[in-house]
Amino acid sequence: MFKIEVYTKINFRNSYAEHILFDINTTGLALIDKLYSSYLYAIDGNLTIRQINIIATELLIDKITEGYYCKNNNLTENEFSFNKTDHSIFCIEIWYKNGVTDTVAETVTKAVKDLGIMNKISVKRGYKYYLYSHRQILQETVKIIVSTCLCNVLIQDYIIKQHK
Amino acid sequence: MINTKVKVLILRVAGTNCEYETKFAFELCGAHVDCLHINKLIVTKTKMFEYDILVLPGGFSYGDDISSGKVLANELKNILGDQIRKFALSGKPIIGICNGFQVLVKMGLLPYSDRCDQVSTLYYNDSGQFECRWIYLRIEQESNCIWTKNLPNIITLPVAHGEGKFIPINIQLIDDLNINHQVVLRYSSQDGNIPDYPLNPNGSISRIAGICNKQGNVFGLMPHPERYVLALQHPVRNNVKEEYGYGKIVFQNAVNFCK
Repeated sequence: MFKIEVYTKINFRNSYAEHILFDINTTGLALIDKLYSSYLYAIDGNLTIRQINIIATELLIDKITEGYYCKNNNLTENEFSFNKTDHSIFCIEIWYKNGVTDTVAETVTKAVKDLGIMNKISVKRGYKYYLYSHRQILQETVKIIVSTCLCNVLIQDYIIKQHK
Repeated sequence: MINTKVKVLILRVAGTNCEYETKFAFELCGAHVDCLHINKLIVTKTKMFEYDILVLPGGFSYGDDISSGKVLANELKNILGDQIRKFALSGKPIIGICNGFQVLVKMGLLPYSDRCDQVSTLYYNDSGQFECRWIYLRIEQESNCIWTKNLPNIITLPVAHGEGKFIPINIQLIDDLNINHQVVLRYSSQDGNIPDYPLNPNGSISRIAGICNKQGNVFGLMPHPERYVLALQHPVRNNVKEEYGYGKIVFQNAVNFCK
């Protein structure tokens, strides 16, 4: 399985992340200083690295404003960038639960065929958030933030990783 | 009797939702309009050339999945790219409204129809949310865009989008667009000055709201001219002495061009 993470390039404004940060900080949990967000696509099928790169560059990213990481290993392997002043850094991945209709994934499956890649594939679409804070934050507090602002726990699962 | 009406093709896909207003607008201008699903066009690729004008209407093609207009842009580029490029280079008018503009930019038909390479994008609004309101636009009168002739310097139209921030691949592109008079519409204040949010609804670079190709026949814009073809469509009826809104002029220009 390939996991593609689509991120906004550093010199472009990630207004979605700014909006989410505003939401978190106005729920009474004003603990987060920075937030980055990215989209995740888990693509399974008999695909080559070259085909994956075509899917990523031609379909999943906006060439002007976005870039991507690609891995073909475990989904919870994360990269952390951080400052020494950050006391708490969390990475959260959110995926739909099994059985929940993933409409974006269905569209990706159709769009991959438009690229001329006819292999049978299965796709999952997820979200990834990086939370940074100058304060010490308990994982339990992050769970409240995630379930309040980032994840609909009825239909989505989340994984929290903390940078030690 | 031979039908001499100008023929307009409105391309429809899953998620398109402005095709009927657009059809009404062109019919008001005396054109014959067909709304055709993309799957039918794929089966008969040359059918496109039976028409004088091609329209990519507003809406949420393929649910705006991945990013707005991206999936349809890829579909058109990979399956109908040669036909659409030929249509554009023949000088026939093409318009992309809102989601249609996103498609034209992401398939690379704008701003350079001959290259068909994406050199700009329409990205998330600076506000991080969907913006829906009436705004003012300054018409760049030096532009050779066939769609915006006879419009006054400042007009008003509604916008409704979440991804409308025009971003070029580099600053040189903005210079080129200005030199070639390809910038057609800019967000404006009511008196023609530089607007702040919310009159600039998305933070577009150089306040760009619409561009055309060098020939002026391919035009993309984020505002919705089809939603202001009748004067009474304006919320404060500020043009009620006139029968029509500014949007009608846009469609009438293209129909007259093809006559």
